[in-house]
Amino acid sequence: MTILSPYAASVVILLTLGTAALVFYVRIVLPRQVIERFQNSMAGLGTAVELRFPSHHGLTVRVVRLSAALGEAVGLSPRQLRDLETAAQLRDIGLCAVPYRLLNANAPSEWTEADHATYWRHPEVSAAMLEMIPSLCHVAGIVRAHHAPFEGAESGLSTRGEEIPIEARILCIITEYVWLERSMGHLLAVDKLRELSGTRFDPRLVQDFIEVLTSPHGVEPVSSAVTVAQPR
Amino acid sequence: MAASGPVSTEHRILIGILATLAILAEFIPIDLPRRGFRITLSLPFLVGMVHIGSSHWALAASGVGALLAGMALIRTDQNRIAWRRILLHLALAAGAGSVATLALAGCRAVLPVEWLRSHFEEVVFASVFVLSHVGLVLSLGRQHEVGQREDSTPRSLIGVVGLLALYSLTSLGVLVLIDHGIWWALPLLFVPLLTIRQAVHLNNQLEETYTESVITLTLMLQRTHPYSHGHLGRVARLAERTALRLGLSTQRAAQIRHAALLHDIGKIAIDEEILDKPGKLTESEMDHVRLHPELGAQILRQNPEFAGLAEWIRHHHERPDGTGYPGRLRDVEIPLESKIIAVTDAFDAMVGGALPHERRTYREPMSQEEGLRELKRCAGTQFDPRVVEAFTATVLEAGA
Repeated sequence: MTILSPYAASVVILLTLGTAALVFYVRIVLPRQVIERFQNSMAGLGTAVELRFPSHHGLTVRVVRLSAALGEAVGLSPRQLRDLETAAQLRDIGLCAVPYRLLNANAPSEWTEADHATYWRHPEVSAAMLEMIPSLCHVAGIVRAHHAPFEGAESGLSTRGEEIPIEARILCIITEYVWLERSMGHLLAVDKLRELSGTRFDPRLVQDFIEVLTSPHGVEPVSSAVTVAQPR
Repeated sequence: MAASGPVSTEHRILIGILATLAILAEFIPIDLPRRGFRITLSLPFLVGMVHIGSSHWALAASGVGALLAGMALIRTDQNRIAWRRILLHLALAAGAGSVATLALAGCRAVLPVEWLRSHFEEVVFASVFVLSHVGLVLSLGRQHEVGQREDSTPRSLIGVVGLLALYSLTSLGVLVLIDHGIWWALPLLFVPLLTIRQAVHLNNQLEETYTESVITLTLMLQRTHPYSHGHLGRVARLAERTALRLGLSTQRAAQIRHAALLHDIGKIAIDEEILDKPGKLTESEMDHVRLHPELGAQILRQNPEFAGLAEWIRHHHERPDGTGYPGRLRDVEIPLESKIIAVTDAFDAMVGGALPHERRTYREPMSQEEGLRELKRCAGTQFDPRVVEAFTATVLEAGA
């Protein structure tokens, strides 16, 4: 092996530096950008639904945060956590197919049987829409099951218990909790979760969730979620 | 240069190493964002083989690599080997290779000084190879794809320049390593190649996120207002063509196409019973409907990538005479993009689709001529006359 000429040495150094810069960009900068852009566009989709139904305003931010906290507490993998977050953002895009007046003019207590049926089709509609998008279709299963009762639906054909993806079971608890929290407050909402634990919700996850909520490092107080996305 | 001397074992080993690396490189193709374009980075190793005086072996290695990698990677829809496409690849490689070899021979004959020759042979080979390959692919592509592709010209030019830079740097690396006998380091050159592959992959993902969130939003709008199905697609196509006719750049025209697809996205948050109501709307109902440009902008602003589109969409119901909404902007204050969308949207709303279910409930569709006449009548008050003119030309051209 001979000693490199200055020309050769400069080529080698240039190549090495160039490669190092490239590796840094591709391994560190670009992946962050990909994730950030993805999250931004998901947030945009969520906003569309919240603008259609003002009563849903600010729910998604809270649902995303709480489901991430619960997912972390039960030890989901980073990949599962990412899917959970995506599903939390997109769970309600099917509400676009729900009539405007159903949610904006009438309180759920006044709904007819048919109204309820229309509303509860939204997980299926959301999932069907997601299945048409190549980069999102992998969360369609979670979204489809995000209101599935733990003990199984009456039809008997549906999935039940542990067959339901764990991300969907988490999302089921969180969406219900966030809704109840807004209408009746934190304490009553937790009582309601306990009451429905085992029938509608996975009892183990309900237990974990209550621990997350009460742990000192858990989740910020309720008010913060509402202030995150004030209307302009 | 070992070209004329007796072939030593060492020389054979080096040829073997370079050929293996060239063939391996064929197995890690890079898919460019423009669909259908796929490049491989075996060229630096081929250049290395030319450098040690075995250009015939370089051609052989390139052919074998294209064949093997083609058999492994290029599949038809039925997962069979796509022989026709592999043959096409082989023909392309052979064509580019022979042109480059010819150039090399010419260069050997013409260049007078030994020093110049030894330094420029590889450069000539590599650049002629790349240019003729790209040229062949582009000319083939032009014959196969009708129109639509002109927007990729500046970008593919940038791509070719970047590719040349990449090729020459790695080729230089190969030459230096060969000349100094540091053969063990040759495979290290795969590190930059693999990294670039990853970069292209992530970049494609970024573009995918963008287009797919456009698609998802239009899907959501179609769920809310099913009539909009054909309307959005037609408005998008016409708006893009009008923008091109007005002399906007192809990139900007593509953005306008996306904006036109999303222009009514705010109607997701509007009561569909009011929108579909036959007959005249009351003042409060009109006010409700008039919220949609602002709501659309609010949805799009969530995503910084859509920030530009959000502004255009916010103003697509402004009128040059200053009576539009939401801002009551006057002529010069309205973005040109919004004016294009306004004209295209109005025309398609008047003329409507051919299918009965696409017709809006509140109006009988007009003929194309009536629609254009109506646009002309409103030019200056409701629409920008320049845009109306360009739009009319676009429609007539498409109709002819």
